[in-house]
Amino acid sequence: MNNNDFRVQFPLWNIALWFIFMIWTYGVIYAVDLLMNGLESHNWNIAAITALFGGTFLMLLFLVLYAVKIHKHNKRYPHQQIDGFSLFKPGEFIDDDEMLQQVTQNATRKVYVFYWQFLPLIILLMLFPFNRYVFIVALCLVFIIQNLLYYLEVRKYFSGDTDYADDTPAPKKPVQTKKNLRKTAPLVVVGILVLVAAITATAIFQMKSTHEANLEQAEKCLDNGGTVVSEETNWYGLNSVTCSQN
Amino acid sequence: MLKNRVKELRARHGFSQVELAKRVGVTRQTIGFIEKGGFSPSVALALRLAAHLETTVDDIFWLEEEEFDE
Repeated sequence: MNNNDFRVQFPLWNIALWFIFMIWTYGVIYAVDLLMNGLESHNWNIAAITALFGGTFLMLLFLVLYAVKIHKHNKRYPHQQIDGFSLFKPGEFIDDDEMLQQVTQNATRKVYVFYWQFLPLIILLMLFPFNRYVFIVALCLVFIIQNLLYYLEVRKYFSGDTDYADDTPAPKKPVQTKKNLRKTAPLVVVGILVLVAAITATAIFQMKSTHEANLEQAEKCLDNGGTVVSEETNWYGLNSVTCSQN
Repeated sequence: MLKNRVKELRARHGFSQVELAKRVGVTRQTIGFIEKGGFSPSVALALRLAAHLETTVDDIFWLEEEEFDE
């Protein structure tokens, strides 16, 4: 078993899935809104339609590749088979022997601490009246970070950088060598890029949906003979439209 | 810190890490980590190692002196 083992790489597949899910839901939300509000009154959003069809295609492609990869793994390692669609035992759990169980425990402990820190922030985020896509992105990011943490912990074991002695004194702070930096830097960069991309996509989505909602409200107001009043009311710099009747 | 003679005894018996791992029912990495002192095995695994290396647990594993100074 090494870093190329599918079970070690499993969290990376999860990250890819959640990333595709983020794209797909952008289109799904648009499609749901379209169905709820009626087709006539809506401006066509090309980005959302692309996300819907592109996301569906990527999701199907992912599922095919995932199934093939699992099939190959299970054929190669008949005694360490993965049930890729199990809801009870995640595929990334490796418990072949007592040390691998220890590795899994350490990784899940890190994930637990992450949830303990991050979920209150999500609740805080929910206090603000963002578009529901913001919350979907936030939760997808939680899953992405969870899998990244898990992968980095398990990978340490397979690259031999970690120590699981039960009775060793408090570990010394690891020396950040150039070799270590070379290993972790790409993952940190990918993590930051995913975060920046998600925040940017969320901000664009928020602006676009607010703009569309304002436009719709303004048109309704003008149709009813009112006067449209646009004000900057939100702390994140988005305008809101109100209608005053003459 | 837990010290051990697994590597020395394994070499004396002519076992590779893979062979010893198979005999005691763990992965090769686990044997590697035990030899480096990076992983403290359970009592059951220590007993299995002792049996396959034809010795006793306390002949393979011991605590370093400074552990008792604290």
